[in-house]
Amino acid sequence: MELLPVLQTGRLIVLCAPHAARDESAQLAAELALRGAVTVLDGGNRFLPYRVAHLLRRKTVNVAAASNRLFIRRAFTCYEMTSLLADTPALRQPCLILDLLNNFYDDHVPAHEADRLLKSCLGQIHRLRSSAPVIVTLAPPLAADRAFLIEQVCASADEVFTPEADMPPLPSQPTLFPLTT
Amino acid sequence: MGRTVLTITQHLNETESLLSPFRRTLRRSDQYVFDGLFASARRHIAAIGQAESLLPFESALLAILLEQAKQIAVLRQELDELKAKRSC
Amino acid sequence: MDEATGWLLDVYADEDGLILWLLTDNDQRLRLRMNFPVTFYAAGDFGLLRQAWLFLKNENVKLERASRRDLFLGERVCMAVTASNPSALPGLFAKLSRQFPSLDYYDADIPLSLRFITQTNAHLLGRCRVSQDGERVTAIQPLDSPWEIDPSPIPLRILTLSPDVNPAVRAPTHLRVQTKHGEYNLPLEPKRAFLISLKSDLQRLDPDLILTDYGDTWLFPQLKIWSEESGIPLNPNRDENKDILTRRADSYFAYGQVVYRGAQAHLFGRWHIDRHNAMSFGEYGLEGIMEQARVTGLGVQEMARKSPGAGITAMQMLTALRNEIMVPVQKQQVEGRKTLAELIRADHGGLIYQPLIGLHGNVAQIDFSSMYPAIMVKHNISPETVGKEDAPEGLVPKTLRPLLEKRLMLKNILSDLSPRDCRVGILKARAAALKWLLVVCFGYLGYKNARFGKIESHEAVTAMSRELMLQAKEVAEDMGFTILHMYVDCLFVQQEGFEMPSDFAPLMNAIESKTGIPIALEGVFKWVAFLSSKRDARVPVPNQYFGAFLDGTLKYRGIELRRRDTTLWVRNIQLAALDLLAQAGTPQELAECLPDVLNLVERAKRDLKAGRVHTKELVVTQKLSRELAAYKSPSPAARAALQLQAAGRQVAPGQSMRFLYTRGSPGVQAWELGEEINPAALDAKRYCSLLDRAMRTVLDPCKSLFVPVRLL
Repeated sequence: MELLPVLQTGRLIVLCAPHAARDESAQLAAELALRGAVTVLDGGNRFLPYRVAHLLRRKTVNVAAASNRLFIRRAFTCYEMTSLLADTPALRQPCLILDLLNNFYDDHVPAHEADRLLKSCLGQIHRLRSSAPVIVTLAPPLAADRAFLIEQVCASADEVFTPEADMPPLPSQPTLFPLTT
Repeated sequence: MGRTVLTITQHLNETESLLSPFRRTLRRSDQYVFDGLFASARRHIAAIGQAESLLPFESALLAILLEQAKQIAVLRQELDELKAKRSC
Repeated sequence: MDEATGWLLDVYADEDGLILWLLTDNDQRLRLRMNFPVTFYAAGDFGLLRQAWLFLKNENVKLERASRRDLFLGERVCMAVTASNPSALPGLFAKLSRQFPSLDYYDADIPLSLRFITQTNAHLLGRCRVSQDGERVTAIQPLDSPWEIDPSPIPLRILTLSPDVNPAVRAPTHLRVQTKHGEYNLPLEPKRAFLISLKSDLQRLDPDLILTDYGDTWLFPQLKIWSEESGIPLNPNRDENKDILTRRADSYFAYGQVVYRGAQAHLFGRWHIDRHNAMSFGEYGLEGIMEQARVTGLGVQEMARKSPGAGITAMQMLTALRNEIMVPVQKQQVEGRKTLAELIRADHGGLIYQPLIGLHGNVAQIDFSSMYPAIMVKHNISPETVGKEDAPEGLVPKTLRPLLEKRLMLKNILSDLSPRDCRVGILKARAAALKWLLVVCFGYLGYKNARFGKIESHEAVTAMSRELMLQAKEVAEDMGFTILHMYVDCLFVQQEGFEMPSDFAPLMNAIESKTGIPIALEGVFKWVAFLSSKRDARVPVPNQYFGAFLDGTLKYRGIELRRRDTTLWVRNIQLAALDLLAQAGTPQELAECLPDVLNLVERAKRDLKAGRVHTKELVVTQKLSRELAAYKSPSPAARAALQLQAAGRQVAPGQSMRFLYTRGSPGVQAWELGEEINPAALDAKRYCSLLDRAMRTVLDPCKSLFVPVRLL
């Protein structure tokens, strides 16, 4: 399980990939749910419920029990993401934040406001990581003038993984059908 | 907004897509019948959705079986009618 | 002290208060003024509030500590900031929120008309009695309610201005001027004479409404330029102290697609509506827009240009203000926690029951009336009540109840009127306008920017709707009906021997009794065809059908006729084909109509190839879905846009591109280039294949009536 050892309490791991590492984060969510409770905060509608259930089924017949260990909340604006993070208690369970910055590219939110909100989010992420590992996924920036947002997130990470370069292979087992669509 | 869970139609499309190597390897005549299995499932999208299963393809398989059972029942009835005609 | 009675046309802010325009019973247009202090609130960290207080101490505002209700958080201690002049509020709020962005702000961006309505109970377009001291209002008394079924008609003076051509295609040469007294053409050249003439018309006619074509995007911007160039001042506002309020064009992403909104020109003291830039003018006209303004509290000019969503938001704000609930500037409520299983259970839309493919006879379509809003009202589903037992009536049901009641009443009145009754047109427009407000209110329950939106309430409504549809299905099946198709809030049912509308009344009564939601008969089809997928004829497709009711009228959904990108030519032929089929009394009789349909298609193709079809009927309309540079391989719409761009025109994502298919490369010619085209240059083969596709839609369901032969 190459990614799992990288996850430790106190560490912030960032995965930056097209589609905010949607497939990889589905696998990760499933692997973590097999081991214990997981918090998933979805900022870009990246969570793949059926995919995760399917991945759980490949490892256990007790899909229901594992799926009840996944706790999901969604944010549809950057304000909601900020509120969501502030509202999330620092529990001793991994926190997977999907596509954190998706809503921060909204044209109707001025850049300085996006910056302010992100700083608040990073403050909350810092709080959460003191109790459990935190994984944030990001997609490439939608607007060049907001690239500074990704830079800020990566600057506060302990490790940043990008595709092809250095993403550790996620746990897998031989498949009957290829997973990618 | 807020639709995170795929619709059953989308899920079936995705599953069908995943099975495309399987389908491709089948003979052309078998491919048509294979497509018919998914068509059978698609007749019961509402029921598959209402089942709210974590693994909706399991419910889709039930829908496929349901359609097959219906076809068998129709064929059995036609067979019985033919037998009845012959014995007259 | 004087008194005046009349209709309230408009309210807006001015340097020293609020301005109202009253259209009096003796046909005067009065400009009146009112003192109107406005308050907004800030809440949050006490240390920051103290600093904010000090920050505002020297501004011309009143500061107070207040306790006010947040819909979700309950009572909150706030700093109330009151400006004596409403026009000062936006600047004040901007200044404070820039300095203290992490405070929570409330009531800071409420449209002034809503505040006015809350305070005075007088509503826009409503009748009221005003006591005045000179031009200052001392008291205002409403004389009717926005929920009147038949409000007294407002004697509006309407001036219509339309250029002789679309300015995007060619420079207009004259303006068509229409009033109730007649119409005439006003040449645009020479400019001085045109401006003097138009100015004189405006002064003489003093219209309450200027209705234009391309007024937002061409006429008013041009008038400003011409006026400056010629030195002839021309202010189209009735309030000559004001300039035209202009808003820029904008492209934005909403509901999964890019939407383009043209520039806007708003007037003061009178209304301006651009028929080409008014979202729903085509659907329900001026009467509908006025009805929406009446019930939402937004001005007519705003409502004409905004989506119904803005209207429903305004209504919720009004309910909040009336119930002393603060309206947050930013939505604060977030989704609760769900397990994976709970998410899969909750995240569903309405029930869609796949149709039985093919032709069916004597089928009744029954629809729940405004199902989702009715569910919200009956089951008290509101963002703050969801999941709570015995909660008091929530904000959303409170907002929707009178809207639902008025719409139902209008529908009932319409069903009793003869189609030739002169009131039908107006009542239909009003009912349609209210329907659209109801249609969008569901989306706004969960919409990310809806102030009071919460996704759980959205989910509760869809869950209830699925349950009610299943209950309806069970009732119908218990009574011996076959369910042919169900789609969110409507059912198609059939039973041997059931042919007349009255045959289905017991079923409808039983469903209404079981579900508690009103249900109505849309009609009984003599025959209806439910369509299959074009990819695989064994796969049914929901909400795609066509059929003929007992009286011969057609109903169709999801076919080429309903699609905006279909050419007029194809639409006309498909409709003509359906009209021929509508003569059939049963599915079996359709076979007799088919030869005429085939002849119709052959004739149409011959006309096209012989150049007898006007190019206007062959225009294809498709939206530009992204910036031109983002296309890897340009779509036909993008190729048309490139042509326009090369000709110096502006194009933006979300804009509709109109073009003709041509032979060779680039394969299209943008319609707005205004260039003549030789019929021989048209891509007749492509147009014929578009027609064939549309005719396959109509003829495929009829295949079962034939020995298999090639139809097309």
